[in-house]
Amino acid sequence: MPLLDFDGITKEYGDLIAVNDCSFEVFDGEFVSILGPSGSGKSTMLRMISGFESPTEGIIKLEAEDMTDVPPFERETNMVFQDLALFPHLTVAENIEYGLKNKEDLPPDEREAKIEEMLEMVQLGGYADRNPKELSGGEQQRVALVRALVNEPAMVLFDEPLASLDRQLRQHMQVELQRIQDKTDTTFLYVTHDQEVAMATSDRMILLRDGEIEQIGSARELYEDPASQFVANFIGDVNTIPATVRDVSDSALDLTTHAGDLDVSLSPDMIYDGAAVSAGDLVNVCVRPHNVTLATEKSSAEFSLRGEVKNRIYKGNDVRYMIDTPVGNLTVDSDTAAFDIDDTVHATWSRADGHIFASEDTDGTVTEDNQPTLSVEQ
Amino acid sequence: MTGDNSLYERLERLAYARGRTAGRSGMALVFAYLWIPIFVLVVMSFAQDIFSFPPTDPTLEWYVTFLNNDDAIGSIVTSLKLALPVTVVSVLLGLLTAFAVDRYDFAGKQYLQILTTLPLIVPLVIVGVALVLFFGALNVRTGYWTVFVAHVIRTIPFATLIIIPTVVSFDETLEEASMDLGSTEIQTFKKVTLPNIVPGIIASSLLVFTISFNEFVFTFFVKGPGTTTLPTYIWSRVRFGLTPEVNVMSTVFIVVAGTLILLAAYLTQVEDITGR
Amino acid sequence: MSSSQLSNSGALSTQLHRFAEYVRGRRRRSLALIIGAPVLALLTFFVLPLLSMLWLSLHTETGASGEFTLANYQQLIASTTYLEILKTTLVLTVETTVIVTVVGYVLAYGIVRLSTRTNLLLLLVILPFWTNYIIRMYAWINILQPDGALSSILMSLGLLAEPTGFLYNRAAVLVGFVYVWLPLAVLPFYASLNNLDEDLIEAAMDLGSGPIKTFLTVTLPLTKGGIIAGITLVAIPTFGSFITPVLLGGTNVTMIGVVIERQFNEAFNWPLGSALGMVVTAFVILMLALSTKLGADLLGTEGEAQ
Repeated sequence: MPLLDFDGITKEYGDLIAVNDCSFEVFDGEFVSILGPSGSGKSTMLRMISGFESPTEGIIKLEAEDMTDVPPFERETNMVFQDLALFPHLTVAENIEYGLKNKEDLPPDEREAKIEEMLEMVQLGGYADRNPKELSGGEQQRVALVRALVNEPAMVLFDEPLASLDRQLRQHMQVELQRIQDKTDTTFLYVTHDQEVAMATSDRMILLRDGEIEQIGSARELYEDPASQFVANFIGDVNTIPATVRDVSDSALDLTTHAGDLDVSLSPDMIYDGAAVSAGDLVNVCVRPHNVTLATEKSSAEFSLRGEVKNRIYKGNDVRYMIDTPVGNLTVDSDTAAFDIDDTVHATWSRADGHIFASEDTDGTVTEDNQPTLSVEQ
Repeated sequence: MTGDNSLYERLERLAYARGRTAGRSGMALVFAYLWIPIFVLVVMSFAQDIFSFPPTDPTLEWYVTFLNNDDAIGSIVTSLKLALPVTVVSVLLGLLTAFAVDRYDFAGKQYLQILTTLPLIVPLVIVGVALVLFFGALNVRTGYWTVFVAHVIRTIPFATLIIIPTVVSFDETLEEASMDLGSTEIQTFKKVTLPNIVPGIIASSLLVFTISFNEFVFTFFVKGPGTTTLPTYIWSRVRFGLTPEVNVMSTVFIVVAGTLILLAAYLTQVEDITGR
Repeated sequence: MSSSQLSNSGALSTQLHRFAEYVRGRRRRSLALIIGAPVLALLTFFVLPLLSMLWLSLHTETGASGEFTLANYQQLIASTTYLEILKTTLVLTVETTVIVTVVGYVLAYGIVRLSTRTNLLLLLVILPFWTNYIIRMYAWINILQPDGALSSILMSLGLLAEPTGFLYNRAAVLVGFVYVWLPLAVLPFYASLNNLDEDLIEAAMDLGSGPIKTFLTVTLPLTKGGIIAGITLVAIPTFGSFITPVLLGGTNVTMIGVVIERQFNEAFNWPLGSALGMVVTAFVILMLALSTKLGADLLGTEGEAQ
């Protein structure tokens, strides 16, 4: 039985549909991220789960109880806010105690002990009597986290709390969050627009786009098996090569690019987002930079392109090459530094690593807004 | 946790469900309380006599009476003869204070600011009688000039409070650039500083004018027999001669003051007046 | 221009130049020039008069023939009349302050959290404040007088048999006070409520506090400064008020301000009036000290989240 059952939820604001018929489940002990660009509906979802908004349609169940109309102060969830919202007129201990007092489970001295214990867990032992104003950004984060955790809620909700931190601190906090989640065995539901954070921390990710769920899966699944162009673009880097379908039959799909045939014959079920295509349709052939192999000779892999090395960036653990091919620029991450600028190479990748999606554009140029890598332009 | 039904919890749920509507109804009631008297005032200006609400035969006769009332018109003229120069002087003094506060650091700066705000805090009766005392002790005859002085004192805090933020937010490096390019202080002031602080000056002028025009308590004490302003004229009518003509004067007053304040608010944005 | 005129204007401009140089030379001098007029005006026509009132309260009469005496103050303490008046004044002040604070706070809360067109609503609250004080009182005379609006409405509703007046009692004075000071008090309430970070309220509810508890544990403590400021803004002028009690209370409601006015304009007992004036001034100073100690905050800078 899932801890959280988010079932058929739609949220409309007048004509604007912020969330459109979304459903998912969260299980006890998971670290789940809701990921998406701004405007994708993720914050709205979080607010519906915490109780500050009501869905227009659908049911939200927590621990099998229908919570859709329950006010926020009666829900078993606690939230860590984006700007932390620590009470300025209370000390650190009083902040943390705030929720505990409402629950009335523990007598005052036991509360005090528990607060100190939790502060120790986040390396803030002895901070109990300080005022939040005196703390650094990272310290305030941890107090906000403890304030939520100490109540032992069914689920802790996070509204992008790490967004305002600098990179190093953020990465440190990511690790901390995971450690604490593991240790306390609490369920975390984390909303963010930053795929790096989500990938680093989550057991599963829910990727949202314009109010709809694009894909749900582990970081690995979203990375290696993206369900759509959008997912491929949002998570990690990807090369995108626009192509046209030349011929479709029950068993084969022939593609051609503006520079000529891609020299590959595929089965129709290779279109990943399940769209049916016919001759003349535009598709995008996608491949991750590190799935492309560079060789001096042509190999027998399903996808193969010949090109010249235009740029080479040494990144420490691997080398990033920009290859100029007839179909456009290809970005390749390779662990060999063998190739020099102006060398001729063959870039190849296997069918398994190539993802093909129906193109959303009619003119062949890809216009996804979250494009991490340069895509091929006409 | 859900499903608990203690009294406290039921109250909270009720507050959550109905709080917003209750609040809005409350607000509506308060706004009614604030505006209905004004509404009654204006409606009665069209009444035949003061004791028939609502007016059965609306008439403009009292407006005519008012326009022919030399005493009333005279009092308006006096009010204007005071308000206009008072505005100039007060705003000027406010400007000077603002510049001192903004451009200089000196011991006692806080006290200066407190001094300029004090006339706002001390009850008007107290300052009113103190002024009477003072003028009496100096054997100064009460009349136009005593009222003038009183009005200036009354309005300096407002002039200062509005102009200071304007001056403070003006970027002085513009002045430095101007003088660097060869202008003197006076030229710089005329061409660079003044245009930028003009909205604050206009807003505070409107405010000062309104306050001076409305001013009653100080005037009541220091005016002497000859100088009658519109507020003091209305006071004597309210005490001794109630007719809808008083409503007419009130309505005229409200319209004029309201327009001026709306203008001032538009120029400064309401935030500045509320002090945020 | 003749040569003599030319040289005259030359001399004048030279003098101006020298003056400008002189002023430019020292910050102190230019400051003195700038600050001189306003300070002089306020000292002469505000501080000095108040000091002379203090002086007169301790003397028998104005001028050189006045002797030092405490008789004026003794008269106040000894007489039960004055003590009664002081009590009436205090009670009315407290009542007004309480009502205005509660109603004003609710109004400000509604403007901040329950509505979208804040500027418009603020304007609607503030506008009546800028009309003439006398006129605002006169409006209530219109309503409360015998055969006034209230009487007519109640009669047409069948609740009243004959035209009745509601003036010349403490309730009328109270209504008048609340009407006058409500808009003023709303301002600091609004400022502090507006500055309160909404996330703090959500955090409180998320942690299990219902709306009432959230208000008591978060909103109220964090807007305390604005509340104190509003209370002070109302209590002080109410205490020294004389227009409202005269117009709406008549001879039935006597407050200190009324007595002061009478002493100056009718009885011509200026020393006694001055002593009374000092009593009011003492109240003002007390309120100011109290409010500063308790953390009055006119501009609402407390409630920002950390």
